[in-house]
Amino acid sequence: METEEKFLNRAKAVLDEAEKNLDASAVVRLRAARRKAIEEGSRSLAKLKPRWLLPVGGMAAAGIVLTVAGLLWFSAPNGQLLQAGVGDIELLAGKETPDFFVELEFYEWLEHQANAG
Amino acid sequence: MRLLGPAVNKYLEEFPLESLPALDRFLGLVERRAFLMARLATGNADDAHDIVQEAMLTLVRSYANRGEQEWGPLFHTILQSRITDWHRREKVRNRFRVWFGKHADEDEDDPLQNIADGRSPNPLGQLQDKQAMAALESAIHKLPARQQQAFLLRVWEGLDVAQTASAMKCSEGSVKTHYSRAVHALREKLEEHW
Repeated sequence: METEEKFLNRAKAVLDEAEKNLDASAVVRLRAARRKAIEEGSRSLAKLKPRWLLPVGGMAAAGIVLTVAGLLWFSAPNGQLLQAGVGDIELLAGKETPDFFVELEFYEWLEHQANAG
Repeated sequence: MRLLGPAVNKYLEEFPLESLPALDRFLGLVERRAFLMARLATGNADDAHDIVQEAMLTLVRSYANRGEQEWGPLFHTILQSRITDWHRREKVRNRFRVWFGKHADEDEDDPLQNIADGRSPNPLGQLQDKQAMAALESAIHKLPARQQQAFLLRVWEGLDVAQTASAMKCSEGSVKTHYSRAVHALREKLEEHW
């Protein structure tokens, strides 16, 4: 057992010595490899899309949509946009011909006259 | 940093740019040993450089955000995986060499050519160091890959059985077996010369 420990200590010492006295060309290549790894690492980190930008971007887009919708809504007097939309639907869905709607004012006047008479 | 808000702080915690100088220092401390381990495994300085380069890149790309105390075990695991990959590729290459009528070892560098350049002022000591390393390098290189790994991680890196098993991705029992066989084989080859 003692001799095994002695052998292992000797092996470790030899390896330590080899590490310490590594030839210059190997040391230079290792340094270059390290620099390359670190540079590539910084590039990868810089390329990473910050995840916190995703919710921020989403919220900004939603804000723009809401702002545009609000501007359209409030620029029309008395919610005319919605009313006009409902009116259009009635026109399109009804059985009356377009001429009926054109002369609607005349029919209203006619009805008024009949009631007055 | 507090002014940037919790989301930004969380991002910087996950990907700390300031970890790169620390990683640089860490790699500077382990690179020589890693290179020698790879060279002992491959018997070839160029392949050893490639292995170390890949291990460094993997650590920086994938684990820069981990704590500094985790880098050591992670780097060992990556390095040993790369060495194992190299052995697998080499096995396939050797098969091709055999098919094309070349001897498997014909192209391999002589490990003696890769001896460390001793800088001891004492020429006799320098020669003895060189000879001792050459003998050890040659003997380790002849060991099966798993025995090499177990021996170097246990003896040189000073990892315990559990840490070695984690780095080698095998059971503790396997580590004990590989290590015991490695020590036995190396003692048989080297003890009479040392």
